[in-house]
Amino acid sequence: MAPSDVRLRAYLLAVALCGLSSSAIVLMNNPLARAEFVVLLSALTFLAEWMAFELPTSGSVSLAFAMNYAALLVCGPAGATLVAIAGSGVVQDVRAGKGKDAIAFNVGQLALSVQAAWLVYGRLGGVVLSRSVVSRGDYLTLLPAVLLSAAVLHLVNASLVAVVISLRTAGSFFAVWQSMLGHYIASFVTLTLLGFVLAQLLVLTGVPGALLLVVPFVIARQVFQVYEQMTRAYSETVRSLVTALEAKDAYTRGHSVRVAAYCRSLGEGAGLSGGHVNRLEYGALLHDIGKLAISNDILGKPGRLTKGEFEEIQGHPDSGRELLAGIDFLSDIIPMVLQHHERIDGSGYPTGCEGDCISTEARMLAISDAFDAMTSDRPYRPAMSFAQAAAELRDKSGSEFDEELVELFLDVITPALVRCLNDESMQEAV
Amino acid sequence: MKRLLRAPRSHLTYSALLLVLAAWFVAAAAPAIGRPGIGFGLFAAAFFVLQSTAARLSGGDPLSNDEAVAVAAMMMLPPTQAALAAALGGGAGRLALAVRGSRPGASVTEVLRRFLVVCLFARAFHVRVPLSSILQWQQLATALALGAAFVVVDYATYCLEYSLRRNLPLGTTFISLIHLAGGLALGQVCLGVAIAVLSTSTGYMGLFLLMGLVLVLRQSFVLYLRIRSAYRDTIAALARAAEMQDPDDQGHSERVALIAVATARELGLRGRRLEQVNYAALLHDVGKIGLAHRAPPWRHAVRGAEIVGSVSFLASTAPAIRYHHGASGEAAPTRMPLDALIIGLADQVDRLSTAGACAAVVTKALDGLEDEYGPDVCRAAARVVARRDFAARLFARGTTRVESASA
Repeated sequence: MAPSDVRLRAYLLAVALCGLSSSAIVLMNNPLARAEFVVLLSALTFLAEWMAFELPTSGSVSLAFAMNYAALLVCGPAGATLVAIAGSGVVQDVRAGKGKDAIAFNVGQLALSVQAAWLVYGRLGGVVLSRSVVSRGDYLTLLPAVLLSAAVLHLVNASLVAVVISLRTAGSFFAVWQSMLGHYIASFVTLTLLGFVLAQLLVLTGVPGALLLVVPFVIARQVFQVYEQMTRAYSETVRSLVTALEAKDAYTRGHSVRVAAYCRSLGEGAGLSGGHVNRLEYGALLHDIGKLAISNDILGKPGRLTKGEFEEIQGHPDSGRELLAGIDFLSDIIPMVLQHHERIDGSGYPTGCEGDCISTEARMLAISDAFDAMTSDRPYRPAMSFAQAAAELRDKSGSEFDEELVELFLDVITPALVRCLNDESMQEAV
Repeated sequence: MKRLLRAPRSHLTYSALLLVLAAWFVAAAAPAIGRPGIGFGLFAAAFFVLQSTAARLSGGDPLSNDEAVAVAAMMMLPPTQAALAAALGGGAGRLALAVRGSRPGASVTEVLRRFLVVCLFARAFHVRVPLSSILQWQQLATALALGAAFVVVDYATYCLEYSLRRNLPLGTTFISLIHLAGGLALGQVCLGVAIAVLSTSTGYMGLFLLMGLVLVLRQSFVLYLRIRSAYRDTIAALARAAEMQDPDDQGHSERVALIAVATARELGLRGRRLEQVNYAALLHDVGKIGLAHRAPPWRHAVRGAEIVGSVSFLASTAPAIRYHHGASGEAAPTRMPLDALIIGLADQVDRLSTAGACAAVVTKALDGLEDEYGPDVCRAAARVVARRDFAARLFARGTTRVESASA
């Protein structure tokens, strides 16, 4: 066993023992009040852990913290300790197949956090909530004690867990701790207030009061899940439709999906936000959608195109705009689709605008589009190598392409990625 | 104004009726309004926030999901004040929405309607669940039941207005709205009662604390509606792309979808099955994309089925698309899929009406198609064609075409 493993083991056991012994002391010295709330809140904590769900932006949300906190306010230290032990962690951990020492640690750290929070709450003048307390006029003067003790609950919990993570990953404790706190600060405030509201409802109306919050939350979770499902369905549908429509032409097969992958890397490399990168990706997936409107006789024509036919092909960004105009959700990507054949020096189409009037996304798309065209086979020439394509991009940067973005593109996109993407499209074709 | 006049006459009658009722209510209740306090202002502001950021249904109509605030206002304010807060705050919110492109005509009736519904229920709340006794669980249950009744009446009258304006059957509109947002409204009612309960100890603190939750609940719904309509819009855009291959086809897919869904409903299909028919009908010609003009029809049917077959969420529509022109091109399946029959027939109906046939001619033609599509499907389609709202959409277009051609 490595020395760090021994240290981790020792730490886990120490916290578990501390937690258990302090729980024993608390349970012996404090009478257990309001058993019905203890049972209810334990059940709710269990439910909350079990139904924890992912939010689109702010990570996983579990209401267990709010339940633990409400238990502290309405049941006092003994009840809150029981709720923390009975409801939180344990089931989740057993289900995830964690070791016995990890489970014991979790019980211990939760008990310790709750008890530390109680100490602070009591010291600041906090009392166990009851109907008479809540109906008092100066009741809201408890609010600072509520917020501070909740902060302590959160801090102790985060610190004890951060030690484990830093021991396990050999990272710095402080860095882990900071990232944990920063990540959850918003949801922490929300959950504290929620716990506070839940505690008030419980003392005011008894057990039925909990329903008033539980029902909306179960419904919110349901709606979020349906939303997540629909989002996945949408992105998968767009992706596979584009692939299916391209499949008729061996030369453009997989083109849009590859361009989308390049744009995603480029957008991430440029430090764009998550939502922005998603938009960029959708725009890249659909950039040639206007070609659907061009008759097949022209697209598949082997010889030289007449002037009229060439003009029809040049109309594809505009047809793309027309097709996408009905989709509210994608209105942001229309400028990208419309401008992806514009050039920095104004020699592009459809409008021939130059410089800054071409959106950044459209410039990114133009580079990715051209790069993929170069690195895949065409009827009139075989695929270029990565180095050739890179040289070509550099050659045309400043005239066709944005100079800075070309450099960024060549920084982010590696020959390995290009090979990997091209192989994938080949496999799908087979 | 123009829009308002173009609305069906029944809708105008309805608006006038609302106006008279609202005026009568105001006149009767004017002496009992009482002095509006801080609560009135807070609730009006909350109504404003929720209405001005309302979610939009697929038809573009806003659905505010402000049941929580409404229930709390009805329990905490004097009845007429609650109704006024809903009307003024909500009306201002509507105005803000209208500035961003909504129908002002519909907004006026909507505000009046809301005023009346809130008036009615605020009285009921005051008689049945006075705030002083809300802390008993029996009263809590009564409040929740009244809240649920409020949602039902609110949605029913919302649907009445909606269906009058769009000439749709009220029952189906109501059921689909409850299906879509009923659960959410129930959650909102719970939050509304919670706000009222908290007000007995901490005044308007509860409104502030729970307003965040109300917004979270609503936001999840807004996101869902947005992505759902994105899905539908995208399928429709693809259908348009297929139509671009042939200038005569403009609007064909949407009309086929309209006829096919109505026929499927006549045949008793519901819920997900209807949605499936809708997507299959919209996409029935998607295989035309990238196909030479004079290719035989089965070619685009086969290709279309291949395209949707590769999308897992649309794969179930592949058989309907494959066989909407019958089984030519390969061995026929032992039983033709029902969806394929429905869509094939809807396709025929639209081709006939586009060519200028009137309802009687189409109905007669449907008799002759019974061998190919089965008597059930043909009769269901005939019932759809005979409906007045369909006649307006399908045949008026055909006649103008014929007239302009002969002129």
